[in-house]
Formats: sequence, C-alpha cells, structure tokens
Amino acid sequence: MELTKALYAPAEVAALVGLSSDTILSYIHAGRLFAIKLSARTYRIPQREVARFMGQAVAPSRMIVDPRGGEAAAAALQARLDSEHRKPVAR
Amino acid sequence: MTAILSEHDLHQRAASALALLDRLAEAEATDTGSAGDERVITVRANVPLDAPFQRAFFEYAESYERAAPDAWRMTGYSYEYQQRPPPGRRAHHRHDPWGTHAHGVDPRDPAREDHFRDIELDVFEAHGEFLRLYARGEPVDCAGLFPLARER
Repeated sequence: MELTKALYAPAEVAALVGLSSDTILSYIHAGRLFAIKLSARTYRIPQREVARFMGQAVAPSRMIVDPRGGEAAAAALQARLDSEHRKPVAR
Repeated sequence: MTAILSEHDLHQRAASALALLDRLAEAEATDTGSAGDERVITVRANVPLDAPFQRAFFEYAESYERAAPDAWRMTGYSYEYQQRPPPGRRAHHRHDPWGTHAHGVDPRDPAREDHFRDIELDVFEAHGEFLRLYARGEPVDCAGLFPLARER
C-alpha cells in the first residue's frame, strides 16, 4: 500500500491497519509507535513510522566518514555560516 | 554547550541525533573523525511534507576542537529546519564572532530574512521545536522572535 501523506493522524493509521484509534493511541503512549505530540490530544505520525508499523521496508539511515577531514569541514561550515551575515538584512 | 565530551560520548550523541531523524526519513550522519584537532559532525534528512510544501529539510551540524587526547569541546553549531518550496526556515546558530543567534524566514515573505536573538540550545531542544513546526505543516513564521541590532 502506497502511503501518500507525509503525516498521519492516529485515526488515519487506525483505518490503514484495521485497528481502533484507541489502540493506536495506546501504542503511542506505550512508545510502540512514534508520534509527534502537538497538544494533549493531537498527534501526527510520520509516513516513515507508519510504513514501519505496517511492516513495509524503509531505506536505512547511515553514518559515514567525511574524507575531507575535520579542519577542512570546520572551515567550510564556518564560511557557510559567515556568509549569511554578509547578506543585506531586510527591515 | 561548552561541555567536554569523550570520544564515546560524541559517538553516542551523533548516533542519537541520527536516530531522531531516522524517525522521519532516511537520514545521513557525517563525522570527520578523530584524526585531526578539529571535527565536524553533521546529521541531515530530507523529509516528505504535505502541501503547500513538498519537502522539509533538517540539518544539525556541530563543530568541535580537541580538548584532550580523547575529548572534544564544542565550538559552534548550526541547527536548521527548512520548508521547501517556498523557503520557510527556522535555524539556531552559534559561531564566532557572532555568538548565539537565530534565523527565520517566513515563506510568505522570504525577502525579509532576518537574524534574531537566541539562547544557547542543545540539538535535542532544537529538534523538539523543529518537530512541532514540521508536524503543524503550516508556514514557519517569525512571531515572537526579536531581531538583532543591525550592526551585528
């Protein structure tokens, strides 16, 4: 099943997997399903988490080593951040 | 955050940040390693976002200097959240000589990008703020932010 939304409400996930909204909320409260809490009663579940919950394969994240080395990367980061302070600031 | 982190703590910190973004999308962490006296760790992810946007971009970069043979002191950070397109943005930066400050771009008025006062934040605090901005799905605004003086 293709997931077309970026974020899902618990009721939408419940409909996708054939469970009740209360069950989905209990999974969220138990930490079995990751959700972003917007208020006491409002949650949004990212598409990737819904896919995992449905047993769909997701591309793995990864840690890589930057071949430039620390000094070059630090200089590049500093230059990028400095450049923002040379732009005209709108008022 | 000027605390000194051991090599192990730094690895754990990078892994934790990667895990945060892995909840949202395929994420990538880049570590320049411990060979030199400076080090940069960057974690980023491009995340689906519903209309009127297409994508959200999260990027957390931290620079460190060697404080001891097996210890690192943070020298700066850049925590970014962007809505694409249009270019909504909230960012928290700390870098010399500007110190701690925030950036904000309201996608309804992108030409008005500005620099704002900020307090020092940890990556996990910034991520919490960005997550809420992301989940609301509304254009980022700069309400409640105080512009820095122009000479900064």
